[in-house]
Amino acid sequence: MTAGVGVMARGQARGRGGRPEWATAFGDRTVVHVDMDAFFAQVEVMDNPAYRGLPLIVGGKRDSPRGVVATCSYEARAFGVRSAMPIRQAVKLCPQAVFVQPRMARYEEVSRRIREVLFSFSPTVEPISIDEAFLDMTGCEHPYRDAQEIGRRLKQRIRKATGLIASVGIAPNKFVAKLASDQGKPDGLMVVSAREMDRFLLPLPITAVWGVGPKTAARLMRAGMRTVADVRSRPVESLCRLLGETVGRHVYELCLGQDRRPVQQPDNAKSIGRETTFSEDIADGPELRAHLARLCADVGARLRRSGMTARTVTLKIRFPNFETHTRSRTAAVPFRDDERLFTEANQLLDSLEAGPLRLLGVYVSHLAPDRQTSLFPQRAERLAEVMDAIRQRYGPGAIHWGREISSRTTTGRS
Amino acid sequence: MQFTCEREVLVQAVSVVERAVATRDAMSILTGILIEARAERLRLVGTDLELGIECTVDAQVGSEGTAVVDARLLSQLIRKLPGDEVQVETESGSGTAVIRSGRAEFSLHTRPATDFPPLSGPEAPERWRVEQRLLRDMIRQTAFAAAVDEHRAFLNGVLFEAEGNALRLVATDSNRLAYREGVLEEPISSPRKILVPARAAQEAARMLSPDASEPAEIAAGDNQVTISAGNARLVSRLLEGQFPNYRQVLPQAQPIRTRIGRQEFHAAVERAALLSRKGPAVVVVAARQGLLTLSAREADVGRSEEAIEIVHEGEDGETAYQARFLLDVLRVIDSDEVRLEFTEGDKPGVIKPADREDYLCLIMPVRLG
Repeated sequence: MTAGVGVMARGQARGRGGRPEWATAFGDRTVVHVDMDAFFAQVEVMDNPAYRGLPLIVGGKRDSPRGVVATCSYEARAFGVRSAMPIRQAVKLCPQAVFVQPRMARYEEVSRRIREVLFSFSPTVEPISIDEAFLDMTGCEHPYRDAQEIGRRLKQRIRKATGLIASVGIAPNKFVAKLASDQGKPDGLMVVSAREMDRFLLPLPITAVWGVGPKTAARLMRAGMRTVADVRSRPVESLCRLLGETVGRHVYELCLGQDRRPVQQPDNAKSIGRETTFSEDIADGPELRAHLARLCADVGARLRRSGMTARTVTLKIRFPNFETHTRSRTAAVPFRDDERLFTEANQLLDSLEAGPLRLLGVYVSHLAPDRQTSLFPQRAERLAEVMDAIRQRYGPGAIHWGREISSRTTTGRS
Repeated sequence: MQFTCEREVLVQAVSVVERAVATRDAMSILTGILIEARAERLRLVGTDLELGIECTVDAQVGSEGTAVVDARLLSQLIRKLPGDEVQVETESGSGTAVIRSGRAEFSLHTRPATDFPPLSGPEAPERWRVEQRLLRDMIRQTAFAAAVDEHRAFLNGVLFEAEGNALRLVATDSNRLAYREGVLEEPISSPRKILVPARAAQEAARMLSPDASEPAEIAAGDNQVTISAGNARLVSRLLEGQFPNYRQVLPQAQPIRTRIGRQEFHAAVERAALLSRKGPAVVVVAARQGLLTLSAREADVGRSEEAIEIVHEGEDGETAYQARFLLDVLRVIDSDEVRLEFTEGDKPGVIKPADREDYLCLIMPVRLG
């Protein structure tokens, strides 16, 4: 087929709702998962071409006592090195490797450039982490001949803008799109249409299914279910009996290739926040609480200074291996005092059951101007206002919450 | 257990008790309704442990017994059954209930009633008796002002304050406060204040029949309250926590006083609120020379202005309120005319019916910035 015919066919074959015919045949939605292969390592190689082709380990110097592998190049993976592994062990497995310390600021800069590329493909982009994102291409498909072409162009554009290689998975939903990009790595491009879904999913091990952790997997294995096909050969009820109604049904739906979660744009609403990277990883509960209290006091004061109230608290943590998580809670009633901010953030920290951390951050969002007056002002709010007034008059160190003081005083750098 | 009951009677009873049935946890026995057949009476109970509702109706009981049946299924089923009568039969130990009506027959799984938590009411030294229509109106005019706030329990409830032959209901979310006075059928000897969860109060209101001649009864215990009316009884836990001294915030004379047609006011606020895009809609209210001007503006959308004729006493002045707060109170007032009285600055405005003194709603203003 010549290009000319192709263009014509595309023009005529516009399906309902502005989607071309290939797209409606592909599935209800066209969801893309983009994952940068060994992202930190790729950036290091790009910035230092001498590293090319060598086993490269990002995480810490060869002799760093607390180092953990954040990412390593595919050359290092060939020696058995994996992320989250202690540096000491990596040295044993691959003594000739190049060890470098991570440069988060640089990775974030590259990540922003990748994000700009993604936004030029679709207005609906959901970044999951510094090196991973979902795109919803539904309704933006007409410039392309098929899903393959979307993937190819995306990879080319990322390559051109950053010099880096990405793996791309395209499917009618998030779950299958992510599996597809994992399967193709590195430098992968895998497209799974609604029709091909069964052939793709059935042979996969159940550990590939989202929400199936080691515990659930063990339970399923004991019941003789090792692959998606094994699960599919049973009625949904047997899975519900094994895992409980909610989890059972959820896992079963995923095994059917059903996943209705939308690609969600993160809330663009402004946020106020602060994070601190510790000079040494902190595992100690009371010490983390003290840091959390300091962050909350700072964020609370800034929230009040801006004349706003907030409804959402987000806690950000980073583990020694640079794995970063955020968790949020949204309150029914807007708040502006340190007390409530700390209570919410503290509960989030508890729920994460965090081990040693290298970074802790607190953010508030869902901001609204604080203009509604109150019949019964809260004690906590009045207290916060008084503390603000004291600090304004006598300096920022004039008054603190007792909980900001820990037995071991450690200094954080922001 | 075996009984026959009029379908309409059963539908009504199930619709009353199913409001208390737990909806969250699909595995729990609390998603069921307890049916108990005893001596020509049927007792139905639904509860989520916070709140329980019981309803008793007449039935022809062939053999006594109990069963717990899934509430949602039972409710949908009996509404759609073809006959005027419903016959229900369980065999002990079978774990199923057979439901027959017309030529339809359903066999539903049941759970053992022994697992169902008992619905016990509190020990109460005294019962407060209130006309059902009055109590329903009092709840309707106050409960809407309560909030959902896990940090300040008193905001989640309606204060019931009984003293002599007076009953007062008060609820607040701290930005507004609704207050209603009523009379008890008989004076009581010991004054008492209880904080009833707003949801329980609202469910109690649904259970009351405005035309019933028998009064409703409220029995307050140490940590529970029972509200009974006709064939239904509601048991709720009471909220702990101190309700603020609301009398302190009830304003005395206000310098700006207006009298406004209620429906006209309501419609004008609704129109002004249309402009709002981000956050709650705010309406600026200005009383000047016999006119009340309502205006609103929203960046990137536009602005509105509308004047309504009022009876104006006292000074000129302006303030601003969240539109929702105005609409909520204008919806629950029954009189044709309302009074809006306010002061400029961070002071509460008052809205009340023009022709009576037993109800008022305070609304705190929004600062204009």
